[in-house]
Amino acid sequence: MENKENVNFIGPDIQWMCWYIRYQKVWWILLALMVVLLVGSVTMGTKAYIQYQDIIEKQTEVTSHHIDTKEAHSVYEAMVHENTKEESLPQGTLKECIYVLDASNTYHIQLVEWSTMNQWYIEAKGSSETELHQFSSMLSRLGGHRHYDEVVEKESGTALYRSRITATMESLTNSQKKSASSR
Amino acid sequence: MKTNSVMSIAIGQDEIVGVKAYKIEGTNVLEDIIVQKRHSDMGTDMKEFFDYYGETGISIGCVFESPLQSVYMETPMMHKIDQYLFAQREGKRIFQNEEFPNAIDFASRPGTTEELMFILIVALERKQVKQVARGIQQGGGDLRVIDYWPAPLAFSRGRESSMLCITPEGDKVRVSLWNYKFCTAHVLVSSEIEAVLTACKKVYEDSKQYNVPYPKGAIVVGFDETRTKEFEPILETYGTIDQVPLHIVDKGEGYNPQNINHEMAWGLAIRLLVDGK
Repeated sequence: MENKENVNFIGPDIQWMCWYIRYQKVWWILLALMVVLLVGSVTMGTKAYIQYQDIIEKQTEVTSHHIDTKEAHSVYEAMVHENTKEESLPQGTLKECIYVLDASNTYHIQLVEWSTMNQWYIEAKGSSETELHQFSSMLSRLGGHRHYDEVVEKESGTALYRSRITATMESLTNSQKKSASSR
Repeated sequence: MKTNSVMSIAIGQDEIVGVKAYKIEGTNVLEDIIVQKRHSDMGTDMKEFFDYYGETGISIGCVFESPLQSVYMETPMMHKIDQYLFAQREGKRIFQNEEFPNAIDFASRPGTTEELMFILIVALERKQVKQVARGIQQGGGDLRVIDYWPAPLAFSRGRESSMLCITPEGDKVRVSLWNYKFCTAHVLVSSEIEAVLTACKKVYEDSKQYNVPYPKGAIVVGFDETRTKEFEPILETYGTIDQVPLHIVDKGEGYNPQNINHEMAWGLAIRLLVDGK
């Protein structure tokens, strides 16, 4: 068994004090380095946090742009009911418009620009690439003689994705010809 | 071959004594002795002394005058870490002092059987220990040892297997029995010769249980001439133990073997040369 042969009173506290005094300059340099590191890491952290907050803010902006289409649906229903006797509505544009709004609402998509006239153009953005694709495929379920083209790309400097959807009317003659030849 | 020099410092009530020594082919050589009068608190005096006379790059030891607070006991064998914890706990319990918190240290050695060990627990006033350590360290010294008063006398008198030590402590007398370098028992008594003689018997009786032999001699150190004369019956009863031979060179001529501070410093120098720390 190991014994401590002598009393020397250089206990841990005294030893630390001695080391502190002996290597005072080194301690101060280390302390200064630690302060610099601390300040640096706080600065970096704050910067990263601000960037993160910006991303969150943009995402929140997207979700806050959702439009409640319930009212639009009821207005449309009322209009259709009123106008059925006199004349039919032009090519379902209003209905398609509501459908687009409804789809964007479902998939948390922010519509940037859209046109539902004969040549469709929809520009939308969202936080999830999948949701943008789903949004696009939901539009294609509208049917009609349209050919859909979709381009989804990541927005630079943000965590968002931007989708551009175009739809062109296929000519009725083309489809008839195709139908005829298939016979 | 000459060893590296060491410096030991003894802080008495009125003066600080520094001794520089080295060892050459088994002989302890005292090469310098410095004496400085005290005028302030221990920390300030120590720093001033070390600023003037201190040397960097050599081992430094220090001892300062203080009441002897030690306890010697036999315990079951313990690992070193358990010894430390035991000493801290027991030391705090025995020497508890709210007014002057103590620093506790210990030393140990094999006991009377293989399953037992002896442990010596010593307490010094923490504030003084810190003051001394800070003073030396601020002067660039390499502090290795802070010893307790009057332990260095065991080294200056050759680490006998049993030695009675009679030293002044305030206006009283401290009687202690030393087994090699460990204090096995001590008692504080009035300065009457009868009381001191009784104390000598008591410390021996107390130490018998630790297999300490009958005292080979006694030393009476630190008293004025009159008192030393009064204590002659002690030396007649137990005999005397002389200081170990020392070789003085260069500026070591000022060494005064009758002065307790000189002897303390020299004893501590021997400890540094023999044990290292």
